[in-house]
Amino acid sequence: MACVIEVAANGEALDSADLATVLLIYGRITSGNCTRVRCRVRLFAGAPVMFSGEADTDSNGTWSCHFPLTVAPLACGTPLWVEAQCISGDNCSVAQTVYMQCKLRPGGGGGNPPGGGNNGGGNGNDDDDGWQWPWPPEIFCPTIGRLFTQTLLISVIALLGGVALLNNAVILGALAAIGACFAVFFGIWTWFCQPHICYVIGAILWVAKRGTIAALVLLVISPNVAMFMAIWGMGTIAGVLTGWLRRRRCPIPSLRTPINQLPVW
Amino acid sequence: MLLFGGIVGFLAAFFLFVGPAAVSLAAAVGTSTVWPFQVFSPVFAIGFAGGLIVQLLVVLLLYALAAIVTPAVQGRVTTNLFEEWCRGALIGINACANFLYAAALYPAIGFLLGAQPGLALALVLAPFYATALGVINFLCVFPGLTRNFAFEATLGWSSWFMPMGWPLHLLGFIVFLIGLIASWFGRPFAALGDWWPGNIARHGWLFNFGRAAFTLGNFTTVSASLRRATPAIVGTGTNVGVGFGTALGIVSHEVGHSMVVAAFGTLFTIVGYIHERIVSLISPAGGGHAYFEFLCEGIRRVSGDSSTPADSNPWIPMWAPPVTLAGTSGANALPLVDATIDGVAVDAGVVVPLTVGTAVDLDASGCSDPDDFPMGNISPGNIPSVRVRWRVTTRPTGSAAAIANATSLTTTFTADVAGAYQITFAVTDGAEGEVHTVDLTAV
Repeated sequence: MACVIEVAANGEALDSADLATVLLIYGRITSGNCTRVRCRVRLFAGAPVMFSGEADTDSNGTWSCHFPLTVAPLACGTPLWVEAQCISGDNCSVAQTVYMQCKLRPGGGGGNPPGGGNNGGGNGNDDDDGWQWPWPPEIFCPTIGRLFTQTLLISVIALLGGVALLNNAVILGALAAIGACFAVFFGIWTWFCQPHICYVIGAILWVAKRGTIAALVLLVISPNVAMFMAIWGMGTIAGVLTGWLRRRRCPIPSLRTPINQLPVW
Repeated sequence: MLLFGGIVGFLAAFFLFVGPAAVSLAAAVGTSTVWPFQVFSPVFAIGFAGGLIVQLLVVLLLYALAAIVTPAVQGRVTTNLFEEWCRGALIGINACANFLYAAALYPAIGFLLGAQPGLALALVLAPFYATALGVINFLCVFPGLTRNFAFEATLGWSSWFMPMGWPLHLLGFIVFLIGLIASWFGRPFAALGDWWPGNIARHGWLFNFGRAAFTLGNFTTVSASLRRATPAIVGTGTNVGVGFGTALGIVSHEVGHSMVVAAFGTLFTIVGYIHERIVSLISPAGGGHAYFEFLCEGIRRVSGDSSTPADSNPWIPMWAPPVTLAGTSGANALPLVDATIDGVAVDAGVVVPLTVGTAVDLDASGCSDPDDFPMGNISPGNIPSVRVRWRVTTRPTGSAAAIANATSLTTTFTADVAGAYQITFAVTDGAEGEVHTVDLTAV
């Protein structure tokens, strides 16, 4: 059985010249089963290995390896050849060029990373900068952003289903779920991760677009005048949000963008 | 004056022609299946038709008066109080029609959809629909609202539910369906949803000739050649697309037509279209000098921007696109354009001389994105902050010259035949960008 690994690179602990002094290689097992990953870093394909390490995956399939760059700090955007291979579990590997981002932790500034040394670290648990979560923000923030988006979409579709069935209990339950989604996931996402406003509105727009299509489908299945109102409302929300994003030159997520490719941080 | 005209138009319509027509319509719909009232249904239907004809004549009169007092000039048209009054009255009439016809029709629709439960629900919701549609339509008398992107989005989506727009929506849907069915048999067809105004744009068969675009309701049709001729930035992420971008170029004019359908209704649109055809036949300036077109063209121009080029078709600032003025702050900064063709800047506005058989450098390495967003923020991985596309949009007869690498920041172009060329350069930061067209002459 094969698994699938996603991989990315982030530079942290920027020095006075804005060069990264810590390299974080991180990723996620998006399908299949893998409990331990080996990661290797080269400057380019075929070059000698610069860094090598192993890391356990957590319950979400995320993993990370940290390497010091104190001897030769790297500029943000530097392309690196990264290889990641599952060494415990299903059979999968990835080898590709990734550009080292320098996404700052929420609240500004890069804190000292957990772990260290050439063997890298595990999941990481950093209490610096008020970061409350066990996973580093590069992993946590996209995950929580997508979790908010998915939960909101499910709640909206439940609401539309309630309207189609003219079932007040379902409608009220869905409204409560939407409220909880904003209160919990949205609150955590925006407070801790401080995502770009374009991405926040973009995620809600993505839900509104899919909600509109779902409402159209439900209208065919269970036609009633209340569904007209649902389509009207969802479409208007999508239209207003699209105009808002366009006015601010934000990227506008497509209806067909899969959830795992939706930029949320 | 718009508001005054709107109030007068609404009240006149309510008591004189739309009101009686709506009552006739409701009676015709309500009694068509109830014995022994079927005998009255044709009478009520005639009453409704009569009211509609009177409405058409009133719309025609107001349109003619507004058009007469609003002569066409290049650029922004200066309106007068009488034109505004007429325009307001037209909006008021349409708002009244949407209000009353929705009140009459939605119960019938509810009944058709779901028998008893559906009818009960429709009777409860119909007043809401009628009031909401009427209010949204009437609010078009306020320029501050019609130039607000959120109101325009609301109006565009509400148009689907306005009875006065249904004939055009139906016609547009039929045209769309023809193209879609034809595509199953190999004809070219492509569609694009513009979520902001709630429009559906398509291009391909049966209208893929010449340079034309037209709108029926919320359905816009763009000829295939038009798509190629007006490149705009489309796409996000790593792909720079060159296609028909809404709210940019000629397709945004068609969005203006959709807004006009929502605000003024089918009857006004029919009158306006006839006027446009007449003007296009007798005026060397073309159909763009019809009053009807002034209202649609405004959405391409940034309202209140007195520096808008005066060579544009006449426009009345009723609508505005949801695009910020250059230089104002937004959540995303535009990429900086620093690209040259053989050392000549792409925005220099000069013709670049070429020598047949000699390669010239196309250099966009100076382009950058000041905020490195969104490319620099895409997860996972980081990628260059701008994307570019070079495209040869015009060649002389017999030429097969092409860009060596169309998506590279630095590439070359070699003219193979003497004559006039045109290269289009597009740069995007993943969300927004610019398009520049450069003329070249090869000897």
